[in-house]
Amino acid sequence: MHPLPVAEPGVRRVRRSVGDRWAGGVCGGLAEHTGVPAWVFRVAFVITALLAGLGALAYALLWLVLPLAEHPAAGGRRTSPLGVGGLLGVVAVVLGVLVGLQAAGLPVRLSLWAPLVLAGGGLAVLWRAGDDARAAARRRASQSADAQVLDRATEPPAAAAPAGGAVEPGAAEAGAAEPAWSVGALDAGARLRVLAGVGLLVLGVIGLILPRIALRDALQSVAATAIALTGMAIIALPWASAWSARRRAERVAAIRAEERAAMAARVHDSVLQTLTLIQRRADDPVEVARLARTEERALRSWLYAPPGPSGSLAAALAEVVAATEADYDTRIELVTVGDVVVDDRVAALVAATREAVRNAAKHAGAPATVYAEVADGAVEVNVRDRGRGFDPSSMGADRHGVRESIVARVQAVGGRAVVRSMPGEGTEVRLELPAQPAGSSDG
Amino acid sequence: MGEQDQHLRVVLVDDHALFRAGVAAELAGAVELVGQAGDAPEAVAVIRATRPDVVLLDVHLPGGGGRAVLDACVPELPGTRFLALSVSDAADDVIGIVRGGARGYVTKSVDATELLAAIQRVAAGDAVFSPRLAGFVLDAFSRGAAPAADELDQLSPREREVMRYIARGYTYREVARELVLSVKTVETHVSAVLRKLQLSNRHELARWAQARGVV
Repeated sequence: MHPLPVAEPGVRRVRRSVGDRWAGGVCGGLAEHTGVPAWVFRVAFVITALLAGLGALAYALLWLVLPLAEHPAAGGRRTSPLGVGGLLGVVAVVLGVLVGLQAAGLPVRLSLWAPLVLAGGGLAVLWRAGDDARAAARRRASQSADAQVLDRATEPPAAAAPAGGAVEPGAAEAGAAEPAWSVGALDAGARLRVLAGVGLLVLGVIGLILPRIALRDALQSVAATAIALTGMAIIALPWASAWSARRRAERVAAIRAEERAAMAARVHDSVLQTLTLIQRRADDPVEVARLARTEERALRSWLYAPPGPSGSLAAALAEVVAATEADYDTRIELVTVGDVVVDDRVAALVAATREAVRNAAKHAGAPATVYAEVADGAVEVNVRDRGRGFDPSSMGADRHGVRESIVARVQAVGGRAVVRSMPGEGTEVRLELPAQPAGSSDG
Repeated sequence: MGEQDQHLRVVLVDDHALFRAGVAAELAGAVELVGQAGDAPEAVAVIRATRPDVVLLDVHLPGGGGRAVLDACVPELPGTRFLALSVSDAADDVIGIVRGGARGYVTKSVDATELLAAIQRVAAGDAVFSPRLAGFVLDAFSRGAAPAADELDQLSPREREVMRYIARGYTYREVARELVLSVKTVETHVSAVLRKLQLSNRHELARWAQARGVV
């Protein structure tokens, strides 16, 4: 299960770079897209920023509009030369330059530019923190990419976080559309950075507004605004929580849709193909039966858990049975009780079972049952068919394999093999492997 | 399998009309098919109206599954026996439907003679165990070696032996010959195992049954 692809395949979109970035990765992204070195864009933006801030505005717009690059882990993990702390440094340096220019007698309107730089720096820090959170969420998501979808779908709905829409770590879609602003998503360090950004922004805005209005009026309007905002927050709270609940429901629905899509794909890829094949081979009943059986087995093991983990006796026998059913036109029922890890001895038992099952399929002309039981470390496998049977005392040339491939094989690992058969009564092969004295295997 | 002179009255419950038609064709002449149903409420109505000897009951049905039919009919119709049919080999399906009151379980791939034999056996009040069901029973009753206090929670050595032969693919008759018993005795053992399967509180059984909502 992987996050849904964001862009249509084949369309290359400009994305902000994660590896090559100073502020928002806009220049790095443009460079990756166009092939022009990033520093060209950087210089261009800085120069145009000096033209009444146009470059800065354009940069901010691009930062907002362009999506973050999809694979943060790829792209060599070139760490950006400027972290959030670096951005704060840039703000300080620019402020210092402005002050210096004014002190040098140049006509710099410090009362306008200083707050603007502060506010712009604050915004950059905030956005950058958001980018980092999103990239981190995506990295986590791709690391836990094989986490079960079901687990995500069935997890109990978390208590609605008052902060609203907390980004769940590991949620695969977090990177796709989620604006990772929400404070709940961030670790302590990120919170500090967000705080710094907000501080800068507020300072800048206050610095812009304060000199232009009277202080008393300002305090009054701030109080009035605060009261109004509180009221609105109280009114909006139920809506906000409903909104977050709806988002959660939508996410569950999306996971379900994903599962349905997987089911549809499965039906299309295998079931429909097999049905088509069956129609085309309708004149060959043996082939039709074989196709149907193979498909049934595949579908079953997909729908229900496969019989035992890989490397277990149950799984090994299931494989033997499936292969034999596919090769011969017959039905074999497999019943296993208990299970054990396949070691060398058990492997010999499985190999002998394969011979017995193939013999049954080849000669019996009737369905067979394979029964395996593991109890207290001892393993028994019983292969029984109700087919023609034979007289063991007059084994033909083609039965020679029984002694070699079944009896001798099991005896070589300290087991016992008994072949019972009577003409017309079917054949039964019983293979027994006693528990190992060391007791290394377990039931 | 004595009283085959008059045909057994059978109701067939399955949501796939195609499958019902196939089974009806296979059983034609051997039993009297008195009714069919495609979902649980319809099945309950048909069974109440016809009071058949045997109901062939699909595990997965619209309207509550085979379990809903069993819940509604088993208490009020003691003369009607239920034989479960399923494509599913999953333990929770099988154990669930048997604990719900079915007297046996066969997969839908069963051939016509086997199905007929199973119907007759269930009608006679005996239990029908497929190798797979016997395997589940052995699995459920072998785990946790601690001797259980309740007789219902343990198989007797003989019952276990019978189950192992059935799991190996032996018919009741073959089991009887192998253990030097009468077929009737084998049937008694199997019925005793069925009773334990239905009434035991063993953890494994409860867990399997819970997965199907039958406890």
